[in-house]
Amino acid sequence: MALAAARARHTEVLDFPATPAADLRSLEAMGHWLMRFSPGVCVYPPSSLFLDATGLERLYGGLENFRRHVAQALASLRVTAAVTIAPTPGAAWALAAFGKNGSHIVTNEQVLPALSPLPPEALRLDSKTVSVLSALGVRTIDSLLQLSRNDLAVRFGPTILMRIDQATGSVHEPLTYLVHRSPIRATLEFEGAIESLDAIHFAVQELTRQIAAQLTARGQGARELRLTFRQPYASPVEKVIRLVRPCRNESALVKLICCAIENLEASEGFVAATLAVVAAERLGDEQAALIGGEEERDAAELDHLVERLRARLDRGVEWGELLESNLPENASRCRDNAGKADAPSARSAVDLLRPLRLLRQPRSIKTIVRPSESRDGEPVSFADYGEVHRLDHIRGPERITGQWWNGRWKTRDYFDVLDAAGDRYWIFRVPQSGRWFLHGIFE
Amino acid sequence: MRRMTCKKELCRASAAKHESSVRRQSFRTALEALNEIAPNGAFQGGAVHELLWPRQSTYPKSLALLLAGSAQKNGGTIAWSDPERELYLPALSAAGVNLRNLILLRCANRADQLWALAECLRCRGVSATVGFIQRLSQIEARRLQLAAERGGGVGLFMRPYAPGISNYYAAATRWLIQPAPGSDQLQRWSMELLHGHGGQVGKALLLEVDRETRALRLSAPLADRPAAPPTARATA
Repeated sequence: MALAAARARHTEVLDFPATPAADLRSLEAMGHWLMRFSPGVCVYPPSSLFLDATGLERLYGGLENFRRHVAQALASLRVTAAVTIAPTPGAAWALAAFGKNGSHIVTNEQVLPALSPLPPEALRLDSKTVSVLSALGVRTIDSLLQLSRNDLAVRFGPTILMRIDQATGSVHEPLTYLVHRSPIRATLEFEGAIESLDAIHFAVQELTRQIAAQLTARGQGARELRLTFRQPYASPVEKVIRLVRPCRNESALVKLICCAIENLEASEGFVAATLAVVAAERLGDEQAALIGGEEERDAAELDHLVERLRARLDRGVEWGELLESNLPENASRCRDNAGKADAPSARSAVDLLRPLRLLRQPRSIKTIVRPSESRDGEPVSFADYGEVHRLDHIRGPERITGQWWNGRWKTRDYFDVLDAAGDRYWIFRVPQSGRWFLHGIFE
Repeated sequence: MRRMTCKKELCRASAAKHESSVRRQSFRTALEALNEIAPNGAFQGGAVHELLWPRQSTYPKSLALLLAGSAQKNGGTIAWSDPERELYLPALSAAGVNLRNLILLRCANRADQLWALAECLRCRGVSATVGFIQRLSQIEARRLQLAAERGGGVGLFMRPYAPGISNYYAAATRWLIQPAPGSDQLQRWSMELLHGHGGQVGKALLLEVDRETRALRLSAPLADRPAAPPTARATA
């Protein structure tokens, strides 16, 4: 059915573009979360998860309790899910997807009776096979099992036999379980509160050594670190260190962390320090760029510079980005990571007339205007902080109007003025009020 | 045998490194007359250059941008310390700076600023470090110069020209920049070399920038200057 037809039938239809990759990521995230119930979790796209229930009866006091725990946890996350337990993954999937409510837990003997009334789709067959089967009048698994295995293999290929055997348990179905990710962190508790910088540096070195060892073991490099110092009678001090490229080099990390803790403030010292890796990425063994590759080495050095600056200045490192706006103050913005290469814009012709310095807030100035009949005379001089600038050369006005939804007096007439001393300013008048403002300086 | 080749490659690498440091030794601006005044006909790379300015509240950013743009090899990075957040990026982009290669530093205090400037100077990936500095102690000035020597980039510091504030320096050249009376079409500065071994100390130039196209050029001598076009302003 086309989307338009669906909308015509049900006005309350909501539509979103399909995002299979994002769905798979969130399914994996949920799989990691479900590891609290079972150590073996397998993601089965598009929308299923297998949990290995082997040996969990003793832990939960019966499989029914286990099933209830999982179902309640999912319900508390507002996830609508059918949870069934069966001897084989195939049977569990069939019952969860197509089973009528009633039998949630199936034992070995009950597998065949439970599967019999279900449609053949429950065996995870492809849609072509299913449509041919339904055309042949095979509506249930029971009737499918009546057919000769040889005929099925000849007609549909080996997959259908494999699926039947997997569901009934004649063939073992291997599952690929998610790998458990324990957070990488190291903690050091001190016997008393420490204050001296040497002791803190030693603690940082020790923590970094442990972190680097863990990262090496996993073949990963840290992208974001969080350093927490606990104080005896105050809230913990936290420093977040972001890296431009993944890194597990111990001495580089120590240098970076030392940059970050340079201006650490503690009134009564610290009792414990924790270093945790918030984000990590796969990292191969780094090859020292010994021969050639000067550009690459420069780029790597630049990345390290940005990391050090970020570690100490926090948000004090920014990159600019142009925006499409005719209002001068909205024509650019700053972000804390390097953006894409900026495309040459058609506005650059206008930007040539803009000053290199734009005040963050236009400053009110007192201006003397050439006498004229209307209120749009040219400025003769203006006073800024008591300093009088006599204007010799004036260009303008250039009228810039703000967004219609914003404010009352949004039209501005800009003048590019040069005073007698040779300083050049960018001032504007609001025609409605007749007030003048200094907005920029051509330096 | 294996060691021999390795050693040979190392030698080649160090030779290439030396060559690159030679390549970074100096740079020239588009203004030939300005290069001639500077020591040995060019601006030294791996050094600090100071632009002194007599005003209290403004800075000679256009000229700093001229020098930074000349020092920037194709694709090199410029680090610009702008704690007041008043640098207007569209104008900078129109002047030919790729904003992707521009790191803006917003330091909260003077200690952080000096540290950040030194770090940028020390980094080989940064071609030019631009900043406004008021006071410098002798040690701080020397530290910045040493950092520039290590990194090979250029430090361009705008400093106030006032006795007592900018006494200490360790810069390769110091330029005094003063605004000069302009015309309807042009904004002018005079630029004088105050310090620079081997340069024409004391010689001043008149630079001008077109108010429409922002083309920076040497002001023609007064005698040869084309007659100023009549002002098109209609007096209302």
